[in-house]
Amino acid sequence: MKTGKNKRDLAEQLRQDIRDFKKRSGADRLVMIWAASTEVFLTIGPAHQTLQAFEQAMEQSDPAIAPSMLYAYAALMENVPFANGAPNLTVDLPALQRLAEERRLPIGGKDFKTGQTMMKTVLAPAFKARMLGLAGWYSTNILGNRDGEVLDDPESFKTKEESKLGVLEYILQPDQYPELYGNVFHKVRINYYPPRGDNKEGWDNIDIFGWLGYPMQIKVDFLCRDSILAAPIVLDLALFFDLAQRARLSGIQEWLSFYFKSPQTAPGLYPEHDLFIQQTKLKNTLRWLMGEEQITHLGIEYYEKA
Amino acid sequence: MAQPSGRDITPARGTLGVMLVGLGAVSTTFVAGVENVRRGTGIPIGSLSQMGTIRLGKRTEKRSPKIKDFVPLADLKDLVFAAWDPIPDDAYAAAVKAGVLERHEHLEPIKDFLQGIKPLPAPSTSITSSGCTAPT
Repeated sequence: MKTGKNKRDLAEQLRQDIRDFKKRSGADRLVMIWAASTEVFLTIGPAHQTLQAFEQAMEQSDPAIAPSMLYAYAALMENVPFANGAPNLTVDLPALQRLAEERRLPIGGKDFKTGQTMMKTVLAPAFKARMLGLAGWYSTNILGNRDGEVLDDPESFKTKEESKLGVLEYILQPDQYPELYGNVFHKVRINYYPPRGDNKEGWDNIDIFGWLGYPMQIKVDFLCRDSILAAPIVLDLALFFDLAQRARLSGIQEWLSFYFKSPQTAPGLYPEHDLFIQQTKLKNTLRWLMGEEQITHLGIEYYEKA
Repeated sequence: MAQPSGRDITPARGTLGVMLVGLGAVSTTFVAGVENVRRGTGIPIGSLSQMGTIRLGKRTEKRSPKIKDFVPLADLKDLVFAAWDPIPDDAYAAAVKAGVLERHEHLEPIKDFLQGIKPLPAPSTSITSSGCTAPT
């Protein structure tokens, strides 16, 4: 383990690691991806507002500076794009977002969207598309890996819970559809259960209602393998963040929301959680980068010939 | 219809170093998976960049290249890896411990490669675990 006189010293050691790896491996370009645990719950405070405040807080080893922020800071200072695979704040800070923009570096997060939330962001848009109501959504997980163990701790679970709970609210827009989504009971539980190891079971009980309010139920039992679902996301993010840097896209990369449970967005924008909106956004960004027409799915030209 | 001009993209020359924070279940499954794909002993299922296609133009044009043939992405053969972790296990030992991939089928044949990835020490305040991330 690295030791240092304060958090800034540790961050400087991480920067040295980055430079050493680049030299040793002969890599022409680098990307950094957080693929470690959920940290204890933190909210944005004064230490996160400006780079100066952030650096001062590191020097004072302020508890507001989480380990993941040291990595993100080190990456950006070394001109390395950073993607956040956990629900931690990390680069979701005004100070680091500004740093990324100034240095023209892509950043993004947060929290890989793999199993239960991926299903949620497919099913919820389907109900909304058909104007079916939702009374409640109960999601429980049993998992036995280190992730499950960490999330058994209430402070870490709080970080995760925020990431998992936000999704439905944004997709369903209860303010616009009060009769359908004004009174949704949404519950998320994570239970550490060692016998399953990395093989997780995500259970969802969904209470929906239709025509004249008649209730119906949907049950989803997803027996998934956490890391088998996450590995391809790590690969895609490594390749797309590298592409983003070569295309001089800087700051938050919202077009990669497809991969995240809590996508970062520009200030004032609500995140798009619907998996297929995210997919369209990603593909249209690729088309735009390469100078191809956007696909609108209008298709009237096939029927109205000139 | 007027074609937009597109963006000037620097080609993906040379190697891309992927630095991972955490060398647990997710990281080792990713790294070992890439190496298996490179050696032709696995398919990158679940990866949009490797498996996905993208429709271009009208449906009648029948243009749907693979994404990796459409945009200039780094090639898998050009990836190199590093990781930080508080636990000093190399990627082989960490992958065996994680127990995600079949040892004989997917880890043993690339043992030398995985043993070459030794974690950089994580900062002592770090709670980075050798476990994995939180992709629930």
